[in-house]
Amino acid sequence: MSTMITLYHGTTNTRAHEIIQNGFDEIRIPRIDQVMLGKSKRRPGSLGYGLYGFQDDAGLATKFINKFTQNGMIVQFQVCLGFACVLNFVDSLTDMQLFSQWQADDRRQRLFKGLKQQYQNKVSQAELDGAMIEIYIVELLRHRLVERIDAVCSATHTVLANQPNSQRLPKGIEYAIRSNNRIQRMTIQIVKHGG
Amino acid sequence: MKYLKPIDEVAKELAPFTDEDQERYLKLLAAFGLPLNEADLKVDDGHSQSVEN
Repeated sequence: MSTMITLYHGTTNTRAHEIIQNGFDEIRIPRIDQVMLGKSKRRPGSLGYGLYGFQDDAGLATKFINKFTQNGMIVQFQVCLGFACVLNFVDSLTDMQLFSQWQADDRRQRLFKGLKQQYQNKVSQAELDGAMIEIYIVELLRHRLVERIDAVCSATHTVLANQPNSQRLPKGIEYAIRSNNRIQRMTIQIVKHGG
Repeated sequence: MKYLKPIDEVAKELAPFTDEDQERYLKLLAAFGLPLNEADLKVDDGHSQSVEN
């Protein structure tokens, strides 16, 4: 069963207009060896590679983009997701436990040691977490334990404009969409500065 | 997420490294410059994978 979810993506004015005219760029997930070696041109986000959006919260996207520019815009878009294909760190205890067990396995610690040379969990972006999620997804697919993974979702702790960074409580829910064909339609909202 | 096998089987299959896993990871670890023993280095190319959509 699929559900339509509304997401808000904060970006620059120029980029927002490009998106409205041409759609989102193709979502590209780098080869896993490139990720592991830190050779991908783009750094992974906290939930791995994908198109990021905040669920049902344009204000959160506004505060996010206001960190970078005063000419930001918010693109609203809908995604059609079957939760069978979402790695869900919001309310699937099974997903969380399996990932945690996988991560804690002693035999992977050498791998993670290498990964830590390439990525760090910074305040602004947990690249190391994102790289680990990419490896985890590859293992899930390779062992044929899941059909596919269209998105990863989690409570977000992203740093926002005009907010203290000390809070450990989540601010909302964030999705990383991994497949363009999940995206249904888009509208654009102009951000009011300071909104 | 929907798993294609019972959860206990998923956990078992995810947990251990297969020989193939071990080879692939050791090769990549070598690229990180981490110390490996001689046997670890006897790995062929071609184990990288893609998750392109």
